[in-house]
Amino acid sequence: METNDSKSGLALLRQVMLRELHRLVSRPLYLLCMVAAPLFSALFLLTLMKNGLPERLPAAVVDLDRSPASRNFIRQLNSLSLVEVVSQPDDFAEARAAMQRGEIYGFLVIPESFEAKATAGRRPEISFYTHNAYYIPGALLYKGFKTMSVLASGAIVQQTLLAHGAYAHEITPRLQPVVADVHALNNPWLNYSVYLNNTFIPGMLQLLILLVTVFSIGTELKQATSREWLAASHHSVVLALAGKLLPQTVIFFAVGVLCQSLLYGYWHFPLQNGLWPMLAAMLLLVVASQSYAVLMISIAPSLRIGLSMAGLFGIMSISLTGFSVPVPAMYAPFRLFSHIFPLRHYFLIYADQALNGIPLYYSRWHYLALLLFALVSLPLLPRLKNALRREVYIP
Amino acid sequence: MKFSILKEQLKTGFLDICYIWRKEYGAVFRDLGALVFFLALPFAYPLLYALVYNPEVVRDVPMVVVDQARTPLSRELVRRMDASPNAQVVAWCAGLDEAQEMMHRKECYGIMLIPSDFSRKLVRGEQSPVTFYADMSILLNYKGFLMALTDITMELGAQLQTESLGGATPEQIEMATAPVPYSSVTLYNPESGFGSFLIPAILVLILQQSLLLGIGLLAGGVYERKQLHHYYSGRERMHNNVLHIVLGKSLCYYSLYIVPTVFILHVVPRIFDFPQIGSQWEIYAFMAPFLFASIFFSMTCSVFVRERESSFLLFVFTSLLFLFLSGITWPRYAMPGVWQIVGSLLPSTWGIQGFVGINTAGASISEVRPSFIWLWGLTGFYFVTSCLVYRYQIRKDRERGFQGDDVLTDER
Repeated sequence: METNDSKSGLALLRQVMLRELHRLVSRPLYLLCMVAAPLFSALFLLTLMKNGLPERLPAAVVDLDRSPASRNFIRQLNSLSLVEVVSQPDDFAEARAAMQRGEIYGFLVIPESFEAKATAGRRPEISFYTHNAYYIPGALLYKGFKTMSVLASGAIVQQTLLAHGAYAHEITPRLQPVVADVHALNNPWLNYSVYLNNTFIPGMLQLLILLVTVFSIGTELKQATSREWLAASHHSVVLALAGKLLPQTVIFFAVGVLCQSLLYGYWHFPLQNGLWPMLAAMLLLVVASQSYAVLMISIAPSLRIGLSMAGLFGIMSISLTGFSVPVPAMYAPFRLFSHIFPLRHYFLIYADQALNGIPLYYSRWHYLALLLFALVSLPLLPRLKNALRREVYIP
Repeated sequence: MKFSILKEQLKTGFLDICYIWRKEYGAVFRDLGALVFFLALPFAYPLLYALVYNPEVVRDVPMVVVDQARTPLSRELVRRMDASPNAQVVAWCAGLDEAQEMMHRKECYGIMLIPSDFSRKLVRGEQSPVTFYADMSILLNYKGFLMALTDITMELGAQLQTESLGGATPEQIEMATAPVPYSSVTLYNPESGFGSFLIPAILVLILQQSLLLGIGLLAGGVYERKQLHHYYSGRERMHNNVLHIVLGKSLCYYSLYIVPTVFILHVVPRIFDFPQIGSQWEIYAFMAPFLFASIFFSMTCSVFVRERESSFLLFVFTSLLFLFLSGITWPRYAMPGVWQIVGSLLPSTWGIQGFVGINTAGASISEVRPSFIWLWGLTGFYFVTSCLVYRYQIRKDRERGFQGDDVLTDER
């Protein structure tokens, strides 16, 4: 104690940081959750979706016509990169059973006397069924089936028009007078990995930051070392926390940057405004998450309750960030809540700065919000200090 | 004679299992943390998730129009776009700059640009393109715009074709515009809702993950308090006592999970009207091996938990990975081989595939046979690993010398 009195703030900080570094390497759990888990998750998600979109979705065709025209139709359907016709069941019931077994994600029925009716102008109807309990495969197959059905109509109209003596250049405008030219801005490949992982990977990192930070503070209460920890910083809770969290900030930020280098460096995801805005966002996300964790353990100075809160917050923030279901579509309380999630602001910064590359000005509020989150734990620090002094462990 | 010895052995074995079973109830009900995982979590999380995803679909996503043609036809196009459930026209902008500014301020997520020669081209019999710029940060918005735009341009095209035919009969018009009509049915999730697709998977995953967390927490507590000897000291007359420990404990967890399973798989989908067309009894029959596999999987994994609370650190984040490994979002066949193998070793993968099959798609157990067989296989596999893990831990514990003296036994 007396030696501490004579030390300056900086020396005390150094002392607490050294103490923390010793603690971090004393158990494999820390490095496992701080370094291995986030990097493994990032590599897992990126390799899982390395093709961007699933291709050659297994589908079936029920060909009730079995004519050259229907076989030609199946061949053309199969030539789409989206679709792979894996089976040709005899009837609807068989196809539906294959779908229930999960062997195919959709099927298309070509009606009886398809060819005869089509040539006679008696409008045979193609029907298709997609398994929309599997969202992505269902939606993609729908697109493939629809494209082919429209093209089938087009082919017949084209033949009729040619027979009527129309010029080739007149045919396309007649088939499709108004055509939509859709620009999927900055993700023209509709790459699902670009869409998902840019937010999901930082989301996983945030979850682990929350858990590890709560754990590293709460465990001092559990092991009855919190008084000693406070003493090492000369009973300044700010110094104690700074000394404890700064080494973790450095490690988490390094891991976050490594994840970003995977996204933007190795996998070449869109990064329109350069690296700096995203690096700043990552640093702020790390610090904001740490601050939230401190807030949680201050509110409930019990390791288990603190970790429950961290887990709930970290898991729910991925849903409430609004990159899957957009925030305006949620119920009002969730809409309101979404603002307090650091990951939401990180997501909006990413959309502005990395994906769309718009001026930094438009993201100013989100940076500011993250900065505020970083300070949000300050008012409750006296409460935390009391808990650290009492040193009570609740199992 | 021999038969009576066997009978006696079976009886002692059975009583021993029941003894462990009863003892484990004590451990669970004395531990608030475990109770939260086993009883509170399976009730709270499904409701929370269901509420988040219950709106199902995205409607009226804001978009703006830059109409450089300003003709009746271009206005008709915009009117139809606005009328579509997917999009809402929030402003008419004078130029692209203004529209872009609105997009930057996130006041809209799409810009429709109608070029000045839009109608002229149509009248001349040329193809007339309309340009649409879509923000890609939220895929559901893009999907809505794309579907609306495709339908509307086709509709308008068909109408223009009809007008050019002049005096044709309705049949002739239909023949000329759509000689091969099509109809589509989105099965099992009729409105293509996001919740109806994601929630069933999350429900099953919650069952497994709460077991993983709770059993991990209990095992961590036993480890850090050096209480493992409770399970073997004083029971030396049992030769195969590891088997009894594993069976007795699993019966305790299994019986605790009957109510949460009914709630999660039956009540929650009913409250929120998620698709539920399968037979309830077949779902429970299917879930039996799922619960056992999850319990033994959790007991095996609990060897890594050395402290009650590290259960959180080790297992919470795996939920997100397991969800992807199940193939509900990214289909399993499209995964790299190694992730397919990892996925098939998880009870949740087959639980989700089978539950979606029976509950959402109305299949019977025989139609989801592969999942059912995998789950029984995993039950056997993880039962063996649980026994090995417990034997290893007990051996280690003995070596460390926690011989279960009376003082320690009575500590609680």
